[in-house]
Amino acid sequence: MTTIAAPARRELALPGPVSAVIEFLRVLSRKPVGLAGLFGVVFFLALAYLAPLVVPLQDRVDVTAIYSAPSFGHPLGTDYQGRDVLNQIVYGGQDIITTAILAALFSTLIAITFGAIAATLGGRADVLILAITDVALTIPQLVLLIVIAAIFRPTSFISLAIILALLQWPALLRQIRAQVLSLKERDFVEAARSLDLGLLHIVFREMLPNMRSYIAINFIIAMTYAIYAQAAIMFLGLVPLSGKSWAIMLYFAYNQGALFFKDSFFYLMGPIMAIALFQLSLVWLASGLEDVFNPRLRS
Amino acid sequence: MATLIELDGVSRRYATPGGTITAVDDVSLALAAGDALCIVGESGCGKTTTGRMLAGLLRPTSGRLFFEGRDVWRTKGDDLARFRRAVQIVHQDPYASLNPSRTIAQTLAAPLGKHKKLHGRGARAAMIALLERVGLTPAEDLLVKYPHQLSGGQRQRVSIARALTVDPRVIVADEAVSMVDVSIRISLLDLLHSLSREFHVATVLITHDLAVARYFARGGRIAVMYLGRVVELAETESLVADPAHPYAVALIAAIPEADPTITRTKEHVTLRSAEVPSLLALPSGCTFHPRCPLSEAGLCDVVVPALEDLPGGRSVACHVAVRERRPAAELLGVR
Repeated sequence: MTTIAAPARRELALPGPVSAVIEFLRVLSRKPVGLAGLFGVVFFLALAYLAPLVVPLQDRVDVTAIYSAPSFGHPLGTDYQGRDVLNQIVYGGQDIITTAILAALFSTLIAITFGAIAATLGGRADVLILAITDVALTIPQLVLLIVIAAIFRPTSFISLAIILALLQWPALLRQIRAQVLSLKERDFVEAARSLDLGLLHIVFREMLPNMRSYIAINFIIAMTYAIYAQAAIMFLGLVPLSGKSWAIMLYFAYNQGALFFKDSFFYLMGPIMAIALFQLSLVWLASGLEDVFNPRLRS
Repeated sequence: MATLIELDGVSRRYATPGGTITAVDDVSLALAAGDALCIVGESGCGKTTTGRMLAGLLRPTSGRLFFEGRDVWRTKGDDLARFRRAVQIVHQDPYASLNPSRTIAQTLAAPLGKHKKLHGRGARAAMIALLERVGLTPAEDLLVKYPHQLSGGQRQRVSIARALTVDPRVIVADEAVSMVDVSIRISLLDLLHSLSREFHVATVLITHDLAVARYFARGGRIAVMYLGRVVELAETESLVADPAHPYAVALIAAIPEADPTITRTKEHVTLRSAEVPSLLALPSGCTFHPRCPLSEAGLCDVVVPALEDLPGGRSVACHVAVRERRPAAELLGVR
């Protein structure tokens, strides 16, 4: 049966990274909102991770230029120590975004692992995991976050990300469990069982690809949550305020009285707009991603 | 012929809030290699449950499943894995049986890689040979497609090709043609039929359509199920010509004929009731007695009829037909 020569040999279509990107953009462009979200996210990622490489850091205190109005030298004015606001916006994105990505990554991993285990094993493992999840879901998250942050005083963005992740996984876990439970009963999963393809194949090759859009969208939503949470606890001054971050800018702008100076409008609004626009881009991108992972829309 | 796979007195019960449902009640079926068997019955008669138990996908509440003489639900490890691969199922819904996010090549490559250690070019050649065997040409173009790019009939063929990747000994096709265009049905049935000849695969087709059963199981057997029990098991030709169980008589009489004159003059069986009893409240005795024109008070509504042999290699679960030693078709004067 295996000796039939293949006529007109053509290689299996394994799209290279380039064609994958083109395909991604082609499908995403069907939803203008998704495309706008992608551009926004790319813009902010470039601002946060690439711009600091070319823009020199300006953190010299200049007492002669406290709260100066926007000018050519300082397009968004200066802060309470006479430092350039735009420069702080450029340098303030990296930490907050990295923490958000790490927090989303950790919480998604926890949710997928234990959600899939609960749904596949069922029985007592399911009951136990669900019980823990439900307890975690009922705790008021921001209050708990404030308490944890006050006790542990996370100093690195990894420890902050872990704390955020530990609060975020329950909702996603329940959703992943529900998805796996429904996929488990599908005919193609039964066929895979019948073909004795193994549990790992069934989970990672048959089920997970059908949850990709789901996981990606939840990952992005988890990022937005992590950014809000960071903004909240940093604005409240609950974590040691070292480094640069849009949220730390907000804390200082508020506590150093930027509210009372007309010329420091952009010192307050700058980080607020940066956070809000980045969040908006993320949400828009998430709404466009649904299509990208739908095999029916691929060429 | 040696028995390859056998269901021995299996039952499947489900506990529901309204009481216990007996989906399948004491069913025994045996197949040898190359056999063709059709399980026929209306929806809810337990034919799909029986098929899933035969494929080892569902554990019977009681009774046993034997494969090559071994009790499947007592085997473990390699033996169980071997059984799993030996029995493949082709599902009813061609839109749910293939993973929507995997291409045909990916779907076929997984079992070939895992069980036959075929990768790369070898796997590709095997996939093309399989697709051509199930009548999908040009196979080359199909490999890169996703299921949604194929028609229902093509998908069913891919499902069959996928089952063939592991060289099965038994194929259970659960309503495999009922969701496919009528024009495609015959060729799919022919394909399944030819596979059973060519590879000596025992094929079980589950269907509600007696016309499909008659076509597929020519030279094989038909089992008629009613409310969880096999009421008649006979060779296709004798069952169609001379059904022994009153329910089978009614089914056969309901097959439309191509010739309108025959349809008009054909004898119809009038059942006493058109209602199918609820599985939650099965009638006492023979479950068919409230609808049966031959029903005898004091016998049929009291004693559960066992599947007993009649002359001509047929088994029937009917007090009257067994006592008279004549098929119900004659008793009812239909033929």
